[in-house]
Amino acid sequence: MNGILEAIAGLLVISGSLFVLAGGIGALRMPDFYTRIHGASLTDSLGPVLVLGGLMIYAGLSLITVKLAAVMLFLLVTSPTATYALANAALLAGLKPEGVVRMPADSEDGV
Amino acid sequence: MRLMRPLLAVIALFAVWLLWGGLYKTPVLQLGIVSCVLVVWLTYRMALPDQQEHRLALLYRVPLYWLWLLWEMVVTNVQVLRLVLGPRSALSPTIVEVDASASSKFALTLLGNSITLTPGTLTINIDDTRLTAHCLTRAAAKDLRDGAMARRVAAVDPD
Repeated sequence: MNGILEAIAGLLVISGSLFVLAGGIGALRMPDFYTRIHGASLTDSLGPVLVLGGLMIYAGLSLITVKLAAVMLFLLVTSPTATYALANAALLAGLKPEGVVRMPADSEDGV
Repeated sequence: MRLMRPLLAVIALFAVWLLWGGLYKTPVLQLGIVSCVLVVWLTYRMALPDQQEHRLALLYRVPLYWLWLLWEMVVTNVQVLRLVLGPRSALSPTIVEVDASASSKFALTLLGNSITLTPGTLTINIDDTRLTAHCLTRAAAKDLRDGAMARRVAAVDPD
């Protein structure tokens, strides 16, 4: 394991952690339920990709890397599905998004 | 051969289990077989696998799409990071509808999940003809309605 690769791996893990931290801040700062989901979605999109990517570089070419890639794949499929279930449940329960503009599929300038 | 597919599924799952586990003792292997059977049984109980034929072309088209999606995720993550740390007045929440009448179920799932996976856009409802998304800013909503992502998904699984 040479030093440069190790530094890159560490950098990726740290920047991934920063995205997760920002996701937490976003979930607290955003004004309503739906925008909070947007803030929190930082934690399950680029955050884990960077962290797991860093760990994969750190592990090198081994079975561990294959397992980490599988973990990443499963996360990237399941977390948006769970988020959709959450948002759709809120919508069906009648929670209205605050202060939104509607943009139908056939409008010209989009307002 | 109604039992053929579930049996193949159990065998494939158990092969993955062996590869992942690396601990080859009898009780562990028994637990592995039981859990593989359980998973397949639960899946069949939930929904029969769709009858859509599985095209091999998806095997390379989907990973290529993921590469593009990864780049999109980097761009949108940075945008939302700014919005999260910046002033609240920068937000302009918008609900946008995307026409998806020509898509297969797989393409609809892929599109809906991709929208949710890129921060700043969030799928909140899907029906057979259109997909409703909540966007953090009007610019994100416009991008979504202009349909770059929908076109790429349509290219992955043309019906």
